[in-house]
Amino acid sequence: MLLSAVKLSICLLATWAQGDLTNRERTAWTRILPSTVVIGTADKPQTVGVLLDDSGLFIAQNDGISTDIMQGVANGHTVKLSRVAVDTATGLALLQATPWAWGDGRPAHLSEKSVSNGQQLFVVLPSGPIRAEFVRSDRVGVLTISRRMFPLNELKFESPDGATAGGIVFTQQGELVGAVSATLQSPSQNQTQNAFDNGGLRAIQQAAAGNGGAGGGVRPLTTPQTLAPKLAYGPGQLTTAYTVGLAVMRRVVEGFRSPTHEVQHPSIGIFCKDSLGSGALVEKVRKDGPAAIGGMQLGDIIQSIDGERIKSQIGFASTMLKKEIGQTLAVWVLRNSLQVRLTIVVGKA
Amino acid sequence: MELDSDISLVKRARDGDFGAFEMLFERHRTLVYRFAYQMTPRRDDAEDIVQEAFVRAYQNLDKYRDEAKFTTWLLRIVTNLCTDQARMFHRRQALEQQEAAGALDWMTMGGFDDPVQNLEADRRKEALRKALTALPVHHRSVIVLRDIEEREYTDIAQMLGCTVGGAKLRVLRARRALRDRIAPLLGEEKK
Amino acid sequence: MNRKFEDNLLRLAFEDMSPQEAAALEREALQDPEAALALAQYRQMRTGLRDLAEVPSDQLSKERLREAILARGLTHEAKPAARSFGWSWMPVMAAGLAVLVFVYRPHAGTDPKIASHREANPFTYPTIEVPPSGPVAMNSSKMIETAGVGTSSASFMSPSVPAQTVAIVTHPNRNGLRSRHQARNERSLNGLFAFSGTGTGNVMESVIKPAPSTSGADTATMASPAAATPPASPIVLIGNEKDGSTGASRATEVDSARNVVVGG
Repeated sequence: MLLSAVKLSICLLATWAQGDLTNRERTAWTRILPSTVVIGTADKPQTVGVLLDDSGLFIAQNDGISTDIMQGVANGHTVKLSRVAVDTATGLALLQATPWAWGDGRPAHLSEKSVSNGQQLFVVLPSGPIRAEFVRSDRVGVLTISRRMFPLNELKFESPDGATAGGIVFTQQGELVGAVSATLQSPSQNQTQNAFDNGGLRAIQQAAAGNGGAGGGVRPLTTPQTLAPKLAYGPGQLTTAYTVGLAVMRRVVEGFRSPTHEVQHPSIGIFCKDSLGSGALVEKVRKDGPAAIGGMQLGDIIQSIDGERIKSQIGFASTMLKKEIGQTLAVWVLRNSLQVRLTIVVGKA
Repeated sequence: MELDSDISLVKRARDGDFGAFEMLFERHRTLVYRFAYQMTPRRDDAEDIVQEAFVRAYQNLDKYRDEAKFTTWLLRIVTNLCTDQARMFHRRQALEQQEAAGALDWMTMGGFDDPVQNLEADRRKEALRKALTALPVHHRSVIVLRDIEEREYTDIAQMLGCTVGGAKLRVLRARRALRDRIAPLLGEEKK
Repeated sequence: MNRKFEDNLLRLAFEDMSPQEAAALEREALQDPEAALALAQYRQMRTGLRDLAEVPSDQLSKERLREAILARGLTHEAKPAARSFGWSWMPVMAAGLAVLVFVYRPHAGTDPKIASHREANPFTYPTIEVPPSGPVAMNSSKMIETAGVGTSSASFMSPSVPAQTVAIVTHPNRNGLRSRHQARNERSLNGLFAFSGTGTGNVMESVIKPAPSTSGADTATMASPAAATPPASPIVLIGNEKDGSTGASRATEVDSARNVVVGG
């Protein structure tokens, strides 16, 4: 009896601690919900995708897609999701939902305006939305698997219960910002939780959120009254997460929407390293790539591109992001103490 | 000038005599390797560092000035390489620090009266090695130079680019840092 | 014990003081049990460090060193025979330098930092440099020899623009050290896609292409660049391994991206 009373108190406090959605948030969530799909196996939901167009094309973080065909629930519809394409540079995947009819969901639109520092966001997880705060848009990241550099957005949110990988990030106006690519800090459990076993607390939190058991299979997202349950009772450690920058997201979305579903990142076909602030040292030149055709060689140090000074490999990659496929570049390199000018036509990665 | 002095060999190497550079390598490789090993006690890492140091030395022979000994110049390159390595693998270093701390904690589980006597010599040595490795590079290098390789303060000062007094102070600070790290090992008791 | 006294005990233990000073301090230390214990422990520390002097034997070899140097394409060229003529080479060199200065006089808008020969810090990332070994003039159709024999010609043809070729030839030194460009650190990137090993044998080539008219930026001069300045904040590396708590890829912040290889 006493324990039940304690649990009830905690339950109520937990509800309060998680916070009800505000009216504005509820409105935003109502707009976002039809654009999302929860992807997973019968055992557990794995990740979330977002609808790109009315033909049933969804985009999701490829890490969360374990097989080429997965089950999902979108806007109340159970669908089969087939992986159509993957952009290895960013780690994003394109999925086709079947069966899908026009109007079954609402395609999301990328945020037209840059997101402001401090702006409140939603991150949609399989268990529901969590609040997040936009920190900055000027981070630079290298995806080590593809060796591609992209601008990154940094966000922070209180650590939720469950995975945040692939969480879809929206503004509170319902515009798409991106998908969580990576996290920096792992949440640590609040010491209050030591008083309860993990399963017990989680059950309480999920009961408060109305989401049922954690292992209940893929469940549709609903219009919740509260946010998704958090890992720890009380303020938890903030998780720092990253999404690929808006400009790159736009390129990915356009590529996925194209008839070939191919994302084309501008590239001249080299790998390079920093040459200590004096340029980008070419480490590899792809055979028959644009740089090779243009005469670039191993060991060249890229000094400038179209008059723009290149101080490091990051500077090189940043400059390349702004280029278009087919564009002709004037590239100055240092080769054996001599300045050499090359003309290179930008290709695709 | 002796025909085979370091300065003479450097000069010949600059003039294109690679054999002269090979002689420099053969002459100093052991010293440089010993230092590199003490700085990063993994043989393969130390070998990589030594090789890289000599490659850089070869590449920059034009910049070597004979005010400093050639070995001093080499050891400075090695120290900088170790600093680069430490920065790149700072997570590994943090892990080693944890291991060192863990090892020391284990070591203090011995008898209360004289914990040092209760420890096996090789385990104590290993703990000291870990503690040394866990020191920041700028401390580790001077401990290695002075207290393991027993270099003169004049050499150390040249390597650090400071006065002899400055070198002595650096060594003292490094020893303090090491002492603090291995205090449990030494059985210090705060009264 | 105060800090200064402890420091002196350290110096004593490591024999970093004069015999007279050492004797006096030793007497003083023996009268204080705490100091005596500290001194004994510091001497133990010293002994322990000396025991660390033993290191395993290395497997270094001059052959490996030679290969490493060749892989970087580094050479120190033999001085030309003209040096044997004593001081008479100096006026010749001076005349050659004057020609070079005239040929390479700065143009308007040229960024002097880019045009000047870079100072390489010996203790930083290695760069490829060929030490000048004589007057060098860039001419669109001449072969330039830095030290003598052996040339080969090859040119890259752009799809639409005829190429002008300038070949820069290096000569092996008298010890037979041939230079060539080789890839470095291929291990981590092998298999990503095929790479051409451009530049083989003892010839390094550069191609200078005339500016196509289509590009407005194709000018010989470099205006003050709008620099692609990377942000000052740390670089984020996103790897394969997962953050155990979030399931997302683990991100690591690094202050220096110097050794991060990037594609583009």
